[in-house]
Amino acid sequence: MMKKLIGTAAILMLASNANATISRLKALGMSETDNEGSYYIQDDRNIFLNVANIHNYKDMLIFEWGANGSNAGSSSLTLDTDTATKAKGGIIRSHGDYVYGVYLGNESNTSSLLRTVATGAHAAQATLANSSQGLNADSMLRGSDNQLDLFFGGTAGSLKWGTNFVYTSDFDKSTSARDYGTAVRFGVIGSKWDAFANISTGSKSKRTTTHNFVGLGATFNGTVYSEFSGKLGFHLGGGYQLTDTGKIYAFLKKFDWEQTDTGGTTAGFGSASLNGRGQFGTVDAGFTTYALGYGNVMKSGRGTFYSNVEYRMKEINVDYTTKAEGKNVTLPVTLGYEYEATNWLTLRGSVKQTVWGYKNNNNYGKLNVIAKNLADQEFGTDTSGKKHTFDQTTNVNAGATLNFNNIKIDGFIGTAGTNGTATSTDAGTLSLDRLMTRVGMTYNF
Amino acid sequence: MKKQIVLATAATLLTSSAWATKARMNALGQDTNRGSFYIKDSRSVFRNAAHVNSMNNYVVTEWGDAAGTTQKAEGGFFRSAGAFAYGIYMNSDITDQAGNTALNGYADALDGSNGDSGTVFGETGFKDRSNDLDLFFGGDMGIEWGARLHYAKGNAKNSTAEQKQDTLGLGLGVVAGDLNAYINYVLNDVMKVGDSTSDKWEDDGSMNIGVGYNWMDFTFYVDYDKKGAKYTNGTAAANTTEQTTLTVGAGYTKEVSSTSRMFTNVSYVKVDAEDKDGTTTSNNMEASYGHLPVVVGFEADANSWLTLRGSISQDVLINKMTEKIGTASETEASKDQTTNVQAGATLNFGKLKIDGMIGTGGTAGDAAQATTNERGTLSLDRLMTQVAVHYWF
Repeated sequence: MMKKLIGTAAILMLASNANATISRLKALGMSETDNEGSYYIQDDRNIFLNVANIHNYKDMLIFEWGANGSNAGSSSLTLDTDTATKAKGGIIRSHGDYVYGVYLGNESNTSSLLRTVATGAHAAQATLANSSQGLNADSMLRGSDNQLDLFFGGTAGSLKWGTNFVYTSDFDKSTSARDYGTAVRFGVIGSKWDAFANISTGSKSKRTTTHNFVGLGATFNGTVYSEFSGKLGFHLGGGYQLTDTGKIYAFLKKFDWEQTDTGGTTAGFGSASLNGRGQFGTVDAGFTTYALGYGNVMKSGRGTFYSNVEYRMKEINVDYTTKAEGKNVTLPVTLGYEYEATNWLTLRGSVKQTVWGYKNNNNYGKLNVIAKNLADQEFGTDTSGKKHTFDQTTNVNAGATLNFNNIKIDGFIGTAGTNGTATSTDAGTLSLDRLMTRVGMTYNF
Repeated sequence: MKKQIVLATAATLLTSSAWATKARMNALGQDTNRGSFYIKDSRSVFRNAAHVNSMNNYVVTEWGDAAGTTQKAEGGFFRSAGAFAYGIYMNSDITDQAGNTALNGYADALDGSNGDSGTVFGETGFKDRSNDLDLFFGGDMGIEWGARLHYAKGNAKNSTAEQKQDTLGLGLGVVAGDLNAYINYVLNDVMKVGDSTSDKWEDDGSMNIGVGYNWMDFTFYVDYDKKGAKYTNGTAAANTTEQTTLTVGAGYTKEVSSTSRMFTNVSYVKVDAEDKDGTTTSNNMEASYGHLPVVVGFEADANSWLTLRGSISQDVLINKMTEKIGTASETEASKDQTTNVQAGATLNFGKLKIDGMIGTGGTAGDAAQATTNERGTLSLDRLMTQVAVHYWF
């Protein structure tokens, strides 16, 4: 009996050492636009995937180190990236059978991406160029900022449920700029299954800017009104534990919006690649992702082996008269490990590769210049409507956790860069001036 | 049993009650100059001088250089003497408004890069303020009281002009049970250049006044802070700049164990600033910033030689900046990117402790970039920044 208790305690310790930060999941192969969590690996980051997970990660503080993230062509729009992380964090507390929490700064990369796409072509061009090309050189639609997440959950028999409310709002009257977003998340976890529904209940950004491109050859001299108006946004999904170690999961993410641009199509710029972008008026657009996958988590002594295969499709469409579109279909395989090297150090890593898939992108020339750059990063380059296979998809990540009883410090290891700044996640080097990057710190109380 | 209790108590005192540096306050999201409104730390002697009675018998040094090119070198010594306590602190620049630079005024600075009136409120011709000295004295007669005297003086003379700089400030405070009150006032802060133009910079009624009340694990506080300056360039009418900050808030401390604790505070902060150009009224500028920052932090002993701490702060729900230049219409905007995560550590060597910030980024060995280049990185070539050492005896 005593041995069983000790063994159980050891397993629980290993489980509780399975940590709680973005870098842990990314080191194990997570690749989600908003780093919202893993569909098969337990981690507190999953509270943004299935909010009922707050029951599994209660009584803890979480901090993700960083500053403002990466400037997505504009200080108004930022992305949380591995080389320029966004500061965020929060607290989850229990009270009897109930759990509640607050999280700050968890702005969505998807929100920034969609607003980048929706910004009028002339406004984006002015942002890319210097201030001599008109007032308000940074003319992009504003992104989500100062986000507040509130959590609450309880139990109903053997079921754990949770709910979350998201609020973000900012404005600048001098440019008639206004951005706001609200969303709700619902999640349930049963003994062998889980399900969630995350719904955007409001998302809008608008801005008025003035530009004069006449001196540069283009004919535009006037005011541009850009607007992003979310129509339908949801993220539904769930999973089922098929075996003790294996779980099947599926999800569907869909965001539809309308975008308005009064500046119209760009013309007359010296570089031909800058012309013909955008379109006057209001067009519909959508961003859809769905996946079906299987993940396996096999614990063995002080280590855990992770494996995952999934079929994933993501696409974006902007219904200009010549539709701009990007589509990726992939079958990635991920193999990962996590091992308690000592009582103060846990190491992890993964290798991921797309074993089958294709990209089919078209008419990037209609997107504004900054959206085109982001589309290249997110979907790959324009393939003129033809299917192309992916190149160089193999990715190895490594991470570590420094364990100090109730305090854990997670991070990537082996990242490239200089002087404490990570410039990429791949270098094949272990550097002490960059010992850990994308650092997260958790405190269990 | 008695030995165990004594040892446990000693360990608690060594690890959890001996705190005295800017880095700790910074890592917990608090004011590094005058300390926290509710977290116990000896930095608060600069807010309420009466705290010299409860936090003494230590030496502290904050690493840096005298001028504060990267970080300011400063430090002090505090000691108890029966029912009294006293202390001396060198090179604290809390009330230094940098009149020896061509600063742009508080409203201009509050507004950030949006608009620039062009009016200046200082000049490089003045003598730098340096070698500041703070003297503390306090007593505990049932009610704790304390006083702080701040002094700095300098001059330089050449064939054409004589530069003079004089600073005198006073701080008074009391702690009566759960209530504490304080006032800090700049009696005199003047910079002069005795040349043909007779330029002059002087403080214009700077003060800090407030009150706090402890109730269970909560502390409720109200603080009013004013900074003001008047700059006269020759015979022209003086340019004046002023910033007032009203803070109303509540802080909560949860002692999780004898060696770990969590902190939370919510405050409503309203900052108002006004720059007045004595010559050109169209350059007058007003700015304000009203916001509701929430701070959540923790501090815990990782092991016997290491304490870790961290915090997150962000404006929530209330966040509005306004600006008005001359007769133009007032503009309004929210302040972007207010989320801030800080982390710090203390290396404990018995009675000697080394505090610092960790994860601050920057260029190898260059502390100047440490606080502006947060990259989410733990670097060993810049293990700790804003380092301070304190020794408790």
